[in-house]
Amino acid sequence: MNNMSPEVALNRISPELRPLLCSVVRNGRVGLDSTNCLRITDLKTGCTSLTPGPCCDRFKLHIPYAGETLKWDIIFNAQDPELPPDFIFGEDAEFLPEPSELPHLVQWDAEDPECLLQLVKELIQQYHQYQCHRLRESSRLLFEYDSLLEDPDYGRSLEIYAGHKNSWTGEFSARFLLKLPVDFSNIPVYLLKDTALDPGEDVALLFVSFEDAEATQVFPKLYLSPSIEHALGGSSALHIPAFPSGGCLIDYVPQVCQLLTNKVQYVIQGYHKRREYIAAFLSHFGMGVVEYDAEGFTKLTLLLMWKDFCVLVHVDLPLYFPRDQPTLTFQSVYHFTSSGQLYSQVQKSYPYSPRWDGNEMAKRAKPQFSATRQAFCSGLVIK
Amino acid sequence: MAESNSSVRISGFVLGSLMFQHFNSDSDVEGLILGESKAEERSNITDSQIENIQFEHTINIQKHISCRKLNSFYNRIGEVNQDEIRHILSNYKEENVIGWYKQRRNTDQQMTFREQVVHENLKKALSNHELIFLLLTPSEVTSSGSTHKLEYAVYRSCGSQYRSVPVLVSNLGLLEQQDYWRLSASCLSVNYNRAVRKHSSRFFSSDGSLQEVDEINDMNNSLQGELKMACNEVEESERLVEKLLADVSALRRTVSERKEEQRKHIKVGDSTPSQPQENVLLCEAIKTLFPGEALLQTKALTFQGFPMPEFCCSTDHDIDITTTLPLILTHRLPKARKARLRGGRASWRKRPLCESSEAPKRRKCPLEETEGSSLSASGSETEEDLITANQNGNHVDVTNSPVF
Repeated sequence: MNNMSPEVALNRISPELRPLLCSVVRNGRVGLDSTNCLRITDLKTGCTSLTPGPCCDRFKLHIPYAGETLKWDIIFNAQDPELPPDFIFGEDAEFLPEPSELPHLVQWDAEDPECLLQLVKELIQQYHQYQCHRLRESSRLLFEYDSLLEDPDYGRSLEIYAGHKNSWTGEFSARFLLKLPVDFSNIPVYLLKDTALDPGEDVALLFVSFEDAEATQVFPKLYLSPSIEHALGGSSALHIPAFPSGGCLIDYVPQVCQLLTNKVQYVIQGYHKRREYIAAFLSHFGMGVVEYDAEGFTKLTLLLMWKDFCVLVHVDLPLYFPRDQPTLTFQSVYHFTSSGQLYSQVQKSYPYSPRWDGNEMAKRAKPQFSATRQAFCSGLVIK
Repeated sequence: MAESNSSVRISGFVLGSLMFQHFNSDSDVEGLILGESKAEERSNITDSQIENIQFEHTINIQKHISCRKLNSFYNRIGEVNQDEIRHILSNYKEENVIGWYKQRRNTDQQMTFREQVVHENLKKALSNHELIFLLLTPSEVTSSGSTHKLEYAVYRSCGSQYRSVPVLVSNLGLLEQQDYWRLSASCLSVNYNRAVRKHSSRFFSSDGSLQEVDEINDMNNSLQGELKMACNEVEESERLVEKLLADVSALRRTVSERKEEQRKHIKVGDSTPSQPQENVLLCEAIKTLFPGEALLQTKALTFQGFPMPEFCCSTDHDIDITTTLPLILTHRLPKARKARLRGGRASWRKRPLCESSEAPKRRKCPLEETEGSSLSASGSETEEDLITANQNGNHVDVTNSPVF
């Protein structure tokens, strides 16, 4: 019942209210964490049980915010659909927004499908102000917030959740969620996941949890959108440093940003380098090129002939090329192994320097191929 | 040390009416609450002599006025329309408004964003900082809809927060009522007040107190006066008794002293031990007149007054009856006595005057003979003599009673 799909939920909503909920459920992305959509659960009705359905007009809206999920009750009246909704802000009983500063409440238009979504966004903004105000309970955390606020790179994309005091330890805790200003636009498209399945914005979010008011227990965590994570080599490819003892966010966040930026740049450079490498090999080995990866430039296959002896050479370019050395795989076209596969030999260590350009690598590849071919043939003879 | 307690009282009728209204509505409902608020200060006296003052604030919900539709007296951002409130109240006064209510189906028992805004604005509009908000939230307990529950609570603002106030439903009898009623449940109904005013003069005096209470107080005062008089009388009689007892004691002391003196005197003259004095003459007379009659000769009676023959005097007192009690001998002669008795009533009546005159003579003779004795002649007339004497003056019937 609670984990129903959006379509099922919409079917239970009163027809007059359905357009408002559609935009919330289908397009509802608020806050920094746009990977998580707004979700509605606990649909109930304000009508009697004798009223024929669908007539649900009140529900819980799950809103991702600062690493937490806010659960707000939204109350309509199916018999009076033109009236604006009312809200219960869950556990934040002290949160009371200023109604005059909610334009979409003042000018509520039940005919506008976007009205509810916009109203929720305005409420989130006021909720953010409310949470920032609560930081005043800790001067240390307030300093963290103020210092980030002054920086235009971080101040505009910041969500704070000043949690309730830990009932066990009595400590005041807070969560900071920052959107890192890293440019992912130059990442080659092919590196990203299937955009049709994941059309969301590419973001990197830094989540920092302060478990006490004096910032002695700080736990950072980096969240990447799935496509970015894939482009950078998976969740294990990027490790952020631990929060330094006595440090502050205004120093730490730029470090993480730089680390991520470097990683992205490296990935982008690697792509270009690989393209350059492939282009050089195409130039040098021309007719000998069997196939190559024309999108990601990660693979190249050459057919080399020496005294009527042909051998295939597969070149695999790693993600972090040219830092990582390409792998050469020599494969026979005549011989099979006992398992029925073509006999092959992998060579990972050979003279190589990441500082060579593609042309240089292609030039040096020829004598390397010759030397390796001899050893490969000898091995075939022995076999 | 002061404590403050607040509570809200609502009658079962009003609560039932609210429920009925919502159950018959297909949406949320809201409206205004009328009633009155009373504050009482109680000072508890304890042995510790620490002043313990309790402030009790009681809010009585007496009536509710429902709004025809939602958001009728406020707009989208919770601004209150006072004209609309007056229109809703119609004949009721704004001063009687103590709060407002909302009934929301299938929601949490918690004030919403707009309700809080409306409540604050309503407090300012009505200039009532003690305004309350009654929230009723019915909901289904079972998925089949067979069981429903209704939660209700009253909220009052306390700074920026809202706190719930305990709600007591006043039914016919309150189980928690342990003390006497200090405040009466008032009613805003015009009809009720009119009926009470019509008959109040029969129960209340001019100063507003109950007439019966005054009368009972007067009666109590009278009873107290009577009791006081009775107590005075008892006191006087008790003092008299005390005085008499004192006199009796004094007399007893005197008697015992005299007896003691007499004993001493007799001791000196007579060595024989003192014994109770016996009327020996009487004893001898009875023995002479009734020889062999033990019952008459006894000198002891039981508690019921019956003679005890075992206590007859058998002592010979050595008294010469002929010289000491000669008259007894004359009456002792049986023939003479029978002849006199045989004469009967006629002979008694027809007795000539000379015979009757002989009686005094006869009476005189013993007197002369016993002149030297210490006995007096008074009281020695026989019944015969008395009857004869009476016949001269009175016609008295003669009886057959024995003659001593």
